[in-house]
Amino acid sequence: MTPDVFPDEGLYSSLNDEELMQRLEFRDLAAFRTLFARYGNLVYSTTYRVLRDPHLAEDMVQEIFLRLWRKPESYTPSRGRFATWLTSVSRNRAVDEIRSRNRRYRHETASPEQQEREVPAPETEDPAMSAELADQRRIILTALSNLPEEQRKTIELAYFGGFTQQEIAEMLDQPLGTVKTRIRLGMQKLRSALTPEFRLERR
Amino acid sequence: MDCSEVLEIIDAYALGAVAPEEAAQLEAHVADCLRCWEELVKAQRTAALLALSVPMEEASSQLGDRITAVARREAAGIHSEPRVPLLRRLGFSWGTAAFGFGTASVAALAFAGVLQAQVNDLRDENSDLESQVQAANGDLRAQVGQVSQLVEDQGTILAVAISGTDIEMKGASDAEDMSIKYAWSADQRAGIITCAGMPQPPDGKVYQVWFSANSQRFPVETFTPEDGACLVLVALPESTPTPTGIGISIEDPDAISDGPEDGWAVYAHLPEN
Repeated sequence: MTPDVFPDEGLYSSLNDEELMQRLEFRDLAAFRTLFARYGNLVYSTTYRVLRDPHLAEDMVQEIFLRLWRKPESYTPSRGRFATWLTSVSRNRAVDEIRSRNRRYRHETASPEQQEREVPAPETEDPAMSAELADQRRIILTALSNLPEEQRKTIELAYFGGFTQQEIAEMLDQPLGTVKTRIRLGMQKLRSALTPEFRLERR
Repeated sequence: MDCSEVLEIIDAYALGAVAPEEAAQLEAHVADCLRCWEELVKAQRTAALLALSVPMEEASSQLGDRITAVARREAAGIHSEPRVPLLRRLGFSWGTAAFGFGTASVAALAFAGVLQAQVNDLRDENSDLESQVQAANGDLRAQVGQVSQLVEDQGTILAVAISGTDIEMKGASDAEDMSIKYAWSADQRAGIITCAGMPQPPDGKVYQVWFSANSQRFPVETFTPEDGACLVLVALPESTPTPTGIGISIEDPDAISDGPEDGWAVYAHLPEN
């Protein structure tokens, strides 16, 4: 085997997400591999959190990354930090998928008991994750764990379960007004807690 | 829906938890209400952060390879603009070391002569059945097309020969009598590789020419030497950045990926100007 004289592979780990995304526009496979190494498990964790099926979740990870590969221009820095954008897109895509399945499937696989997982301990992190992202996760998890449990569960059922307020009210056997109030109060508290760290007010 | 009603459900909307008809009313309102639109942006930013709160799971170890393999195939398809290799387009065989530009011109003339003879033959046989004439006309058009391509290639070859820069390409193998040159012209965005003493690639494999630019490799042309000799016209696809290097590797012609599978058989850095 002859040596590869292009000394470029080592460069990628020092590039930030935006720089790697710019390289995807030039069909740079090494940049793509680097992004997958950074975010593959996080995207999988997001799709798995919604879909609750490892095979479906992996198929969706493939779809999400290949969409990134084919249309890197779909991300621009004006959409916010890359990691937040990518996980948010992953959640949206997974929720679309679960909504397109029939309600029976959803109720079997996404019962309140299954949806109400404990907030993960911050120390269980992916070693590929940057320190900055791990810090952000810690802040978000802390803010979530500081919510009254019923508010947190209601928000998680809405966001990760893909359920409407009406559906959540039926599932939890609570008045619709109660569900609406839990969501509103919980989100207000989260916003207050996260605004200083994430500059949510910026335009 | 007024502002207070919108603000009541704006967080639920950001979480995707309002019914479609309510969502449509909210969207209609924020399209015309800056204050509510700003509130919606904040709610959506908060909701988006929730996606980062998921418990970490580990995807299967093959997932990355699987996804990369698909991306690699797509990259190869996009990079490798399907071109008929020049030697095949020329339609004749190079003799040992017979790959000078003069020879190419002679060969072009010889080819044109063959074509003319075929035209004459066709004229002599014009009493043949109409279907045969039509088929022959089709052949003729194809051959005229080949000659046009040949003339175009010859033009590029001459332009490179006149204005080009010669670069010796270094082989990684220790074949002593191997000599490979790359003559190129930045003006033409094209160059010519000439070689002698080049070993045959293994069965089923070809030599693949790559340009290197911006740390990427762009496959441009494949060839197989004849009696160790080659003359390969390599033109930069339009979207390719200015290359900083040119390399040749041995590849499976049906599985060209994003870079040489087994390193470079030959390589040269290209000067900046």
